[in-house]
Amino acid sequence: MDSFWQIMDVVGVWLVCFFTLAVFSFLYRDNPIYKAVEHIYVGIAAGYYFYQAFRGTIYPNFVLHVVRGMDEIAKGNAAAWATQWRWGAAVLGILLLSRLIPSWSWLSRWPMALVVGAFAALNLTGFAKANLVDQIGGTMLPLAGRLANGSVLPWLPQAQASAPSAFNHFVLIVGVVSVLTYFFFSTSRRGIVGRLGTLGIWFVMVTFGATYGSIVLARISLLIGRATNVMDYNLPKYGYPAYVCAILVVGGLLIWRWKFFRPEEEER
Amino acid sequence: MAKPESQSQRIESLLRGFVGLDRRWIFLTLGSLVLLFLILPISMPITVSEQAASMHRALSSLKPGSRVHLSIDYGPGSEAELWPQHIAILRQLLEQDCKVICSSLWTDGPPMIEKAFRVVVGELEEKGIKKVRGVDYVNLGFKAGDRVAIAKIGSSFKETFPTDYQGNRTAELPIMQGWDTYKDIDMLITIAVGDPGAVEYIQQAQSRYNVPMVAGVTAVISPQLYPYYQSRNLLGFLGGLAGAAEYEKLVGRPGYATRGMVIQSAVHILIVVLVLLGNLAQFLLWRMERKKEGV
Repeated sequence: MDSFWQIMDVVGVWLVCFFTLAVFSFLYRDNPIYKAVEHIYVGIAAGYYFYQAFRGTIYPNFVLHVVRGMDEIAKGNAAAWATQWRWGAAVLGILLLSRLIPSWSWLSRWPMALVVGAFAALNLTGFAKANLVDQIGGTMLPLAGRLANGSVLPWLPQAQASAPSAFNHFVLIVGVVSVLTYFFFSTSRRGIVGRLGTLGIWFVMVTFGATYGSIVLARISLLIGRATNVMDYNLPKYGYPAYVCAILVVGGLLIWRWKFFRPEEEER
Repeated sequence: MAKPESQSQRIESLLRGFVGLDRRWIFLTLGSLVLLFLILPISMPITVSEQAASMHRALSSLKPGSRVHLSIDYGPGSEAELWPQHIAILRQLLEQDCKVICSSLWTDGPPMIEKAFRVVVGELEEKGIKKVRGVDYVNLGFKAGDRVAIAKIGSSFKETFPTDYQGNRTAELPIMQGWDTYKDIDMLITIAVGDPGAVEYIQQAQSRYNVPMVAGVTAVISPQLYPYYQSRNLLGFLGGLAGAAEYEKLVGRPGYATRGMVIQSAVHILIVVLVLLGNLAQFLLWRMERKKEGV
């Protein structure tokens, strides 16, 4: 049995290396190696998601309850009928599939209405607390602080925030007010409203810049992850899969480029 | 015979060549740089951010026996960023003798949970510390339903997860005895890649049940979490590979993320240099065009 898992381990390592390099071959241009790997991935993912959905939700939350409930009912436990309400949820779930048959698709509106209603209610309450009430509370900050010499800033002496914090709070409050002013469309953008709105745009642009920077950070992290993974597996005990797979992918690309590639097909 | 190019013409053609550079050269340079720094044994200092330090303080304050709900909301696609965070956090929790209850809102999450348990429990066993499945830790598996699932988990773990990932009845597991809701949880942690993830847990669990919460997320998501950290919905968070490297420094165990920071910095410098050079080239070309037009 151990030798079986050792073989599977080697096969897994080779698959990791080949599939990673095959996906990266798209950077050269769309090619049959990439397309084949893409199709394999989509097929495996669809099957895997279905299996996990059944194993994680349909089986424990429906099948198991209903079967156990029926068992109890057969034993004469009348209270077990209460477990059978889950059939209602199952029927509503099946009704969602009626969209596949155009003449019956109207049946899917009932479960869809339930889903939309439940999501709206949950989002409304959760969003109102975390994104509105808590955020307003988080913006009510002391605008005063102790200076380096220990003296307290004069306009709010009871506040205990340190001087750098007080500055951060000031920037945060100005940012919130100016961005909110920018999105206030009920008055003309003149005078103080116009100037605050312009400042708001600057804050929004800084936010976009920070977000873009984070996206670059994330994408490079993924590249590092794949490179580390492939290089870490590139060991003599596995037969240097990274080098062999790189030769296979590059060789495959060269053959395709010289023998089968037609620029007019790519343009289409 | 071709007319010899003047110096300004040569500069212009060089600039045009740079601006119109085939992006595949950039990919190749970037990939080569990653491989080069992967091989070179270079390290660099890591500065710990306030939110990472705050997260470490929050987790360090957990007493032995504390119940922690660790929601693993990512799959292999985000392993590069989130796996180092996952391992560092799980290792700390099990070393502190916390009871770790794992679940996932992503279909590809449960295998990541299993893999992390295998690694960390194995490490602890080598040190002579025995951790038992169902007593010290549990994998409750995947649950569909996004926000609805989070709300349901909050009201009853055992109803939402009648069985664990191995198919055992949850109500019979020693780790699940004597508690059932978020009110009994000492810390909620999500390691998340997107939606559903940290923001949804804040909205549906943290703000409803007032449960202390920290998060580990990808760098793309991290800017969204600063307001929640400011409002103390989150006691701390880690953003991407950089966050994981900071946490590795805090727990004193440099690992994969620390190693990745050198490569990350080198690639960032390359990107910044390319952006600056690209803009400079565009500006110079614009100036040359205007000069030609006599403006």
